[in-house]
Amino acid sequence: MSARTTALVVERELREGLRRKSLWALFGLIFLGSTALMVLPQMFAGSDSATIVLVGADDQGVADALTSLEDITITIVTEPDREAATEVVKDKDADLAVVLDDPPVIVTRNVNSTLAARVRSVVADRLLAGAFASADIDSDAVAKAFAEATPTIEPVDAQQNDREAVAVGVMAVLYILTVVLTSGVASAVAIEKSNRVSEVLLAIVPPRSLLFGKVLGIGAIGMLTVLGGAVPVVVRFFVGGDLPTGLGRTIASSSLWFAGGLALYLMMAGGLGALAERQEEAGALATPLTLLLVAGYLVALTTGDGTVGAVLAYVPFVSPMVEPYRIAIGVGPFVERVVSLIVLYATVVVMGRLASTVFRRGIVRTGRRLHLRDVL
Amino acid sequence: MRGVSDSLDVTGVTQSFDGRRVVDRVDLHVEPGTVVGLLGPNGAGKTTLMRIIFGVLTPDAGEVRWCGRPVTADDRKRWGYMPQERGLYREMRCVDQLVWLARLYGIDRGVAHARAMDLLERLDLADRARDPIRDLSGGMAQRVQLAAAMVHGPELLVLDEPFAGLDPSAVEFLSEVVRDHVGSGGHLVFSSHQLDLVEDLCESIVLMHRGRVVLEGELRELRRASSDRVLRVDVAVDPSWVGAGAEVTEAGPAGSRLRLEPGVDAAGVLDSIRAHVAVDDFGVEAPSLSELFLATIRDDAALDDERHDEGVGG
Repeated sequence: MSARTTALVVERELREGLRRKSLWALFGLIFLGSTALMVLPQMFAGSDSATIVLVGADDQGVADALTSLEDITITIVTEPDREAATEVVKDKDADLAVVLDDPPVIVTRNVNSTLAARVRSVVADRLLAGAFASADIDSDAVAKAFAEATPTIEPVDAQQNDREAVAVGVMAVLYILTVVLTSGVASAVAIEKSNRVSEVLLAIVPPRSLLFGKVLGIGAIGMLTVLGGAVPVVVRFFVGGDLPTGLGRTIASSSLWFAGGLALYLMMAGGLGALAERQEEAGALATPLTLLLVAGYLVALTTGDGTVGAVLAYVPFVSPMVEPYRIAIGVGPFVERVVSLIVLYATVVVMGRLASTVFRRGIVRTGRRLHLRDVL
Repeated sequence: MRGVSDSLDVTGVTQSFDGRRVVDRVDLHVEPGTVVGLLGPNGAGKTTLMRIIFGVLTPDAGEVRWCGRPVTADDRKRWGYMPQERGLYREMRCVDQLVWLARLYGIDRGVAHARAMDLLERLDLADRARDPIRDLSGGMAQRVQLAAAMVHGPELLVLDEPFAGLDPSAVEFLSEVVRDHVGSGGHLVFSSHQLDLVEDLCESIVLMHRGRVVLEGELRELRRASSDRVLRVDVAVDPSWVGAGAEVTEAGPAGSRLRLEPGVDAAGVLDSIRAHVAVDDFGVEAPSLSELFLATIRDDAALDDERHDEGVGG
């Protein structure tokens, strides 16, 4: 019966939540924002074509070598002298100019650009080949020797950055969602108390069912809004095909801490909300939780990979933010993950009972704002 | 001898908050088919007692029994409770709210919907069924609240200040509905601080003051048993017109009421008023409920003072 009443409380929260226009407005806003973040960078990404001004006699086939570059379409235009070429680059009609003089010069607005580096390398190759030919040196043998002597770059876990970004993203989403929902749960409980709805319900619904139902319902509504932001990201990864290795594992493992952290904070918020006499007091009552979240988020963000992070992985109030980050960057042993999770869920159970007691005792005490000592 | 076979019995219930006793050894007996008024001023302990009856609060001492045995959570599922303030979700539609509450009581969704619509029809709210509570007037919301307490067909109805803030026609309407409930064999306890407003509805009263029961019994018997008599006249009486033994308790353009002490001659008092002004309409009556209450708390306070003096002296 208790499970049935809890389900009915959840059902009401969901149905009433989904009927709210403000929820759909927020969902739409998050969906559009996320879609824009996925699509706009590609739309406005630097073009993979460039215009290069060539000045001077191209005896060594520099133009051909440039137009043969991979991943970029090069258009070659010519100008009679360096001054004219410089003007074209200055006017942004070309990306850079190659002056085949002695010594050769590359005129560019951005000395650090990748294009300038690639063009410089191509020009050097062609001019060196010409010089070798003039000196009667086998340019192919030299090129082979160069190739053999040039170290290859072998990335170790090239997609760690992607996973790290995902972990930071999960951490940020958990943080924002928990801050918003913590105040939402405290406020919803305070409203029910102040308008005496809870009094009617407590006559038929056990306090624990009422609290857990509300936490589950409001948590589910919150997750729906997260979904609004997550769908475009997932579609982008799968359609784009550039899914970082281990992303699924990072998200799956993070979700365990995510769910635990959300449950922990929302139950505490429900308990504290029951201490309010008026709805306006709910925010102040939830402030300690918000401060704890802010502190946890900042500490996790700055020290998640170090010794402090290793310690915080076992502290249940911050581990939901620290541990997903440590998993993503591959820091910490497996036993740390297991112990962190056990400690977190054990705390969820203990705090769930405590929050339930605070809720049960606080929700029926009216007349003034209560303190924890009044109900414990 | 009171029957306990199918009655609600509250015995010796005591509750304190922060060291302050708000309900002090209260007894209450409610039989089916009767209306019991739990009356008293604000802060008398009525709401706390109702919360205890409904299991919302666990008393420090005493017990609540139903049909002669300690009440259980399942018993309470057959009761209906209407709290003092609007115990409704303001954003929720009327019919959705009633159906949801009925389902919490264990009623199937289809049956719950039929019952909710039937109740809204009876309460003249069928056309507002799909409106959220926030769009209803105070009186309408009060009717929906009553429907919420009755949607599962409870045996016992406990209504906390059901008439607060209602106009006379709404009070009459609500009174009819609760009379129907009692007429069909249900139990009813309601609280009110507006004593004169509910005088016609109560058969039996329990008067509370400072957490204690100061007067209880059949209203008719209590009024008959009172040694006080009240002289009612249709003129405004100046207290200086009457001598000792008659106290002006109410005076205004619509008339005055004077409490007569035992043995005081009503005709003599009337003559002394007539010496100042012509009286067209008058009568000697038993005290009203509020007059009974005032007399009782006066006696109660006097008793307290006496106890205090004895305590100091001893």
